[in-house]
Amino acid sequence: MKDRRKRPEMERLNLIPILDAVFIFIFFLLMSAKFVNLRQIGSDLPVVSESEPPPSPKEPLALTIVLTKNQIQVKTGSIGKVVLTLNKNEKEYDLAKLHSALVEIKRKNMDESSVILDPKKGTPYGDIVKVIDASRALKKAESPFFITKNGEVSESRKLFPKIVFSNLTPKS
Amino acid sequence: MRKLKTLRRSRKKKDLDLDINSLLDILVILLVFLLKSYSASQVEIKVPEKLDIPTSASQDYGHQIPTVLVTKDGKIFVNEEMIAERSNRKLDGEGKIVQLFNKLNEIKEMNKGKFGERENKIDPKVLEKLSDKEKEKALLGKSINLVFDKELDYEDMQHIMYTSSFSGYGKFKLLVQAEN
Repeated sequence: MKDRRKRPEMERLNLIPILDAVFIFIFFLLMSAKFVNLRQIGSDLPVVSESEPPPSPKEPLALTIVLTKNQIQVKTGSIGKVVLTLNKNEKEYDLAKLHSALVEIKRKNMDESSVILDPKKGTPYGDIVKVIDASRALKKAESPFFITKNGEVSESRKLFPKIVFSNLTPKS
Repeated sequence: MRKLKTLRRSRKKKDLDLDINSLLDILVILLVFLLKSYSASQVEIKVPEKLDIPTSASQDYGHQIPTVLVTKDGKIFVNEEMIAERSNRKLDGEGKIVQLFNKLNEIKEMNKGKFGERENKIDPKVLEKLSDKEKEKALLGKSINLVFDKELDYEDMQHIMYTSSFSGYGKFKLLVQAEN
């Protein structure tokens, strides 16, 4: 202490106004802090319509993922042709394989954007969310799709973002 | 008395000088962490008891709309209020949960001016032209937040979703935790 007094007086920054501001800032940030960061996954009810669907030259893809406690089945087409069957091994589905199969399907059907989920009774919610994650978007490391529309090329990272649950009736 | 006076004088003479460097250091670090935890999401839920929400890569933020929360042991909460447990759940002939159905209808009635009327005015042809985000906003009156435990069986989800669709809430928003 003695040494300091002997030195010539140092210029000091006046930090008091900054400190005041920072304190107020911290107060508001603490108020708005959320320790569980929530996001949402949207899923609409399947639309029931009595009118005839408009005639289209192409058969709809009708991509369906059937989920049971131990198995995933990927089906396409209105007849429900099974494209891929994955069994659960040691508590986990092979989600990477499911994802790459879905990317393949998307490449062949770039204009399709919905997937129908058909979970059976006994499937835990956590597994359903994992399957949704695998089917909604590309992983960060994967390169995006390039879509040419009216001569313009655009990028897309979406796979099948529209999720529809098909069996909502409990008595079925 | 004299002593006190001298004390005061000496205090006046010395410029009050707090060393706040260390305090500042802490504040800056605190600031960084608080900024990191900041989230732009509007939706906020109060978790009544132990609940394990699954994580997802989804990037969409939620909205503050009616929320149905179901715990692992089947307790159903609507906007933080418990309305049924697995033991006293009443099912009607179709599989709707009676308590949930009544509660959601009540909420729908209460929120009538808030989302409902605005949404009814929208012409379906206009709706078609809106972008996905605008459409989502316009249809908030029909949307419902669903929070389920990771281990909840799909059968329970079926009852909840079936019931809420009959109360006019057909746009389900599954709330999940963001991945880090």
